[in-house]
Amino acid sequence: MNKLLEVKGLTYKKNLRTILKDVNLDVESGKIIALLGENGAGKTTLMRVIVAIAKHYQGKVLLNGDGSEVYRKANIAMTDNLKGLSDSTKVGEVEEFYQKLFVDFDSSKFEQLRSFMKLSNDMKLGQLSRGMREKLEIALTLSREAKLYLLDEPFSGIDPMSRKRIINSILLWKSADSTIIISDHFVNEITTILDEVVIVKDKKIASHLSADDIRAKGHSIEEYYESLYADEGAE
Amino acid sequence: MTTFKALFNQMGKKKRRSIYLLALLQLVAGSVFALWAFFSNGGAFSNTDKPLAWFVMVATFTPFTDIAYVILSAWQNEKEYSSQTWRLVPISSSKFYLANILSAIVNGLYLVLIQIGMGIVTFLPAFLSKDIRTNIWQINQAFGKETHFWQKVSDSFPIGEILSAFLAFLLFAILVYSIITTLNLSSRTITDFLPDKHSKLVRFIIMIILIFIFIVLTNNLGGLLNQLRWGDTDNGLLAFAESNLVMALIDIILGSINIWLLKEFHEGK
Repeated sequence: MNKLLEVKGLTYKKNLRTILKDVNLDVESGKIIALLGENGAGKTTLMRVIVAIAKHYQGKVLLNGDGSEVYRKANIAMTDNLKGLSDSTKVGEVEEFYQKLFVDFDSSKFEQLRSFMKLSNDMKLGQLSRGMREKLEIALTLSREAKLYLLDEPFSGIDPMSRKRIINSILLWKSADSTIIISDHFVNEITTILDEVVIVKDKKIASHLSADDIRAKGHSIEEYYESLYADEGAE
Repeated sequence: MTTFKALFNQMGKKKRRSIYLLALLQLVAGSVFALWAFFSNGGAFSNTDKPLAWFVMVATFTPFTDIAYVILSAWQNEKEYSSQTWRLVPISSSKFYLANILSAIVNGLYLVLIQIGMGIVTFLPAFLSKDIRTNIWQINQAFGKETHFWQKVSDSFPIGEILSAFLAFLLFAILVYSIITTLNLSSRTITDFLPDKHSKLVRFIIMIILIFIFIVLTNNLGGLLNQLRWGDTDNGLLAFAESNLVMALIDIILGSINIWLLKEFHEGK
């Protein structure tokens, strides 16, 4: 497997607060990885640094050995809340926006995903419920032919039935050599598709193990995740 | 990587919506006032001038519409700098900045074209008035008798000065957008390095301080430039070239600061 992403000695501060401290992470291509951690642990910030949206950090972030901002943005697809578009924008117009601005956007794949997510082109962003909006965000992100997909809490507003359906079909939408990093609280529901688990705790990567290694220790991924926080709870 | 053209088109498309809305508002407001003027007795228009009411009223709202556009487009520009949706686009900060400002200016020019079109349409009822038709015919006759008409037009409106004035207008528009962006990006960046508490109040105070610094700098720069005048200030073209050069220089300085802030500090949310 090729090394796809390298994060070296990453420290990020904002408003005089340290959010990430000396984070090191290596990710290989072709994997599905869960990024777990408490609220405010820095999962979203880590994703924002990787995709070059968060600035002024110390350390290095390399994608295929290239640290340039434009290269990272061109090859990483991250879920976006679409707040930059007005509520009157229709789903079809959002698709056009992506199609014009991202050269790797595959319209036919989006059409398949859109119908899978039961979204209509005429729906306006302002009319979409939280769950439907998240479905659109997932559809737009996975329609790009990116090397790395960053899904930031993508299922939090989606109903359990649809969530299961989407999670089970994620493998269909990714190419063999692309990697997906999912940050989520619904650990149990995504365990079946995971290759690796990364846990963020105390501003650092507390653990980075393969899902098989965790299972080999006789733990479920949820148990392992909870055990990392157990000591803290006991104090 | 996204091309400059693709980003410019998308940013322009977003701003164009407000243009149509503003032009429509101008037309509706002008029409309502024109109707009121037309049917009121002893109002702003005499009976002979009443056919001109629509044109005059719509034209009166032009500066208000243009000012509203500058405010709206500047707000949209700043929104795009701070939006994750736009900042995820794989393009360099310099191209992103230029596409944003230029799309606002090109759409502003488009608004002017629409306003010219509205001016022509709203002037049409004036042809119903015999007095106005006679006046236009008389002016036309006077021009027809003039042997060197185009020569006189070109003497009165030298092409060099018209182009310089147009360039000055463009540079001034860039300057306005650049100043707003510098204030927004620098105040946000400074706020990011300060504690989170009362961040809105802190940002407001920083903004006031920055405006004060900007005014002091502009005054000093103006004094310095007055000492470095090229000479003949009666020459219109030279005066234009001088002020254009100064404005271009300030645009470049502010633009460089803004691009640096976008590249190194300012994050989309």
